[in-house]
Parts: sequence; C-alpha cells; structure tokens
Amino acid sequence: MTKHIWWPIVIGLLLIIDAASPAFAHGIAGKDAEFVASNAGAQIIPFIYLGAKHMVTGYDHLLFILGVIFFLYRMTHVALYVTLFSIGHSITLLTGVLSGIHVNAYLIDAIIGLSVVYKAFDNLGGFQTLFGVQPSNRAAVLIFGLFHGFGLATKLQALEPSRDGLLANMISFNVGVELGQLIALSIMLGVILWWRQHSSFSRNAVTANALILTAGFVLMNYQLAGFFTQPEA
Amino acid sequence: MSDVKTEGHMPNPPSRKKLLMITGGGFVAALVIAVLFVLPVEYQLDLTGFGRATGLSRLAGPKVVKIENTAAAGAAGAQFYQTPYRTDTIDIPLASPDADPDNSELEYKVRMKTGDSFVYSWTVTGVKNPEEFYYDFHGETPVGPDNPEAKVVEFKQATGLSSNGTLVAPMPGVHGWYLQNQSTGPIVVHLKLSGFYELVPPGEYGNAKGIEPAKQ
Repeated sequence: MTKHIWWPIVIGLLLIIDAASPAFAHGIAGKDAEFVASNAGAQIIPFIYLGAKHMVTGYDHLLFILGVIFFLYRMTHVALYVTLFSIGHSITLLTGVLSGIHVNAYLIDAIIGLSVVYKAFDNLGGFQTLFGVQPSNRAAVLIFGLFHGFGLATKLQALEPSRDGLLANMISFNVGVELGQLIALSIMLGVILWWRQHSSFSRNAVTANALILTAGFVLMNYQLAGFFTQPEA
Repeated sequence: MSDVKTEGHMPNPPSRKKLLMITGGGFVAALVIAVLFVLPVEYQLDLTGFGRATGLSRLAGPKVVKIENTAAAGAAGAQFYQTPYRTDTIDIPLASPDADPDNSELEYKVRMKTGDSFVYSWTVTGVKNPEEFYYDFHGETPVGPDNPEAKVVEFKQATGLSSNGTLVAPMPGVHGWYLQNQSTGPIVVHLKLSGFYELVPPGEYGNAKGIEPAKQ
C-alpha cells in the first residue's frame, strides 16, 4: 500500500517546479505577442486559440481550479462552481479591456496566487478549524474569478491590441479561455475521480492541498517581488 | 444551505496544530523556493548568491534594458563622422507565411556607433493591403564584453507599405527593422540607405538571414 503514497507528492512537486519554471513564465510571448500587436480587425479563430492556450498553460488559473474541484463530489457542483468562476473572470476580462482600466499586472497576479492559497487553506478546513467560521465557497469562487479576469485582461492589454475589431477579438479570446478551461478541467477531473477510487486519496489529500498551498505562496512571493522591484511593463 | 458542508470540504480535516504546521511550513517553503530559485531566474534578484553559485542565474539571460527613443544628447545641427559615408540599395524578399513561414519574416539591421546616422527609404512590392505588412523599427545593443545588459530602443511598430526617415543612433549596436510578410503571396522590401553605418556581414547578429546589398 505504501508504494502509492509518493505519487501525489510527485504531482505536487511538479506543480511547484512548473510554477517556478521560466520556460512557462506565464504571459503571451514571442510570436503570439507579435501577432496580437500587428493585427487589426476581427481575428476570431486566432484569438480563440490564444485564449485557450493561455488557459491550458496557465498554472495559476489551473491550480485554483484544481483546489476548487478537489472536494467537489457531485458533477452538478463542479458545473456550478466552474460556471461561477467563468462568470467572474468574463466580467472583468471584458469590462477591463473595453474600459481600458489598467491594474498592475504583478499585483493582480499576486492576488491570483493568494486565491490559490485561500482555496487550499479552505480545503484543509482552515477557516472552520482556526476561526470557527466557513466563508461561502460559492461567493469565494465568484469573487476570485473577478480577480482572475483582471489578470487575463492585463495580459491582453500589455500587448496593446488594435482598437479595430477589439470587441470581437476580446470575445473570441474569452471563448478560447472557456474552452481551454474546459479542456484542463476535464483532465484534472479525470485524474481526481480516478484517484478518489483509491485509498491513497484520503491518506494524501492533506498533503496534496499543503502542496497546492505552498505553490500558491510561491506565486505570491514571485509576483510581489516583481511588484516591488520591477518597472511595470 | 446544509449542502455547503459537503461542497468542497474534506471529511476529516487536520487538527488545529497540524493545520498551523502545514500553513506555516508551506509559507516558509515557498519563501525559500522563491528566494533561492524563482527570483534569481525571473528578475535576476539573487539575494543569497545561490543563483550564481548554481548557474540558475544564467537561465535568466542578460538583462534587457529599454532605452528611451530620444536624440543623442547634445546633438548639434552639424555632425562630423569618423565612420565612412556609404550608400546601399537592398532588396529583401519575403515568402508568404503560408508557403514558407521561416522565410516570411526577418531582421535586417546595420551597425552604428552612438551618434552615427542614416537616411532611409523603403517600399514594399507584391502586396496591396497595407495591413498585411508589419515592421518594427528598433535598435539593440547586444551583450558584449563591456556590456552585460542587452539594451533595446524602440522607434516604430506599425503596418504599411512604405516608410522614409532618418535615424541618429542613440546607442551603439545594430539598428534596423524586423520585417514580417502577412500576405498570401511573396513580397519584396526595397530599402535604400545612405549615411554613416556598416553593413552586418551575412549570418551575423542583425543580419542572420544573410541579406546582401545590390552590387553598386
């Protein structure tokens, strides 16, 4: 039995290394950035692709979603929470970009890191154990969804997309984000559902959430250090 | 609302003591990971020297500093140059990105010292829609023995089928254009250049694709 104990730890460590890896530094880079900066007019499919790619490779968003679904046992709950998260981030992505509100990207990404910490702490029953209260999970996922949306908005704004076709491109990007989220969710849900059938799940659920919490703190440190030492891009 | 309990919570949460250990331990571990690994790589912020000791800092590559696009300080109306005067006509073919993506874009730059200048004019043939040709006029000081940080100065990023102007190099290095064909057919950029600069030999930094000027 003990031979199963290691693999959730390995996954957790991979997540942390992934979060710390420069190769995955999470923005829109290189040719994709060139594409966005240089394209005027509506580009539906390319922007859907960019949105999906941003989400599938977005470890900060993925860690949060993993935390959210970790202890959701009913599919209706999974659908509800993911919908709340999508509503939250769509609101701020669209209004953020269209209204031109500029939020410091490091600060927003630090809050996204905090959302990962929050969810893992909550999964561990932290609020109940330490403070005797249970904040609403549904409200939390919606509110943190709003912050994740601001994060998505800053990534697109940093590229100064053309005003021409902006609305169509923004919506395409948003649709891509939802598709990417669905893809990533299916994979994570598949793994979680499979893992729950094994006794190692209940033995290592605490460890897994401790690692998610640690990864969230790493993201916070990373972004806060950026906020205090780097000029804003 | 009784549902809330079953949504997103573990059946047997850890004890208060264990929770505090997990949270505190996670916080400390994250701090260590960030200080030792992430900050040296991402920001060249090597607080402990661990990044240099392990070679992690090299992952970060040289620091790139953005320079303001302003005229060289103290530039007078008349300038005099050590660099010999030259004039070049350069035709740069670019394939369509559909047919040959690798050859649909390139960088063409010339070497200049601070204060060196040129007059340029280019037009694009083979494409009608000005939005299908993108360029990025910029200068770079690559990393060298006496220059640990790469510097970049941005002049203009735009689409269009022609551009005329002058440049006084605000810093030493290579100055010129990133050119990108976004149309469905092959195009040619016709560049005329005169002034005080040196061509970059084919294959070297600034002319990696080996563009040669027309014979005089």
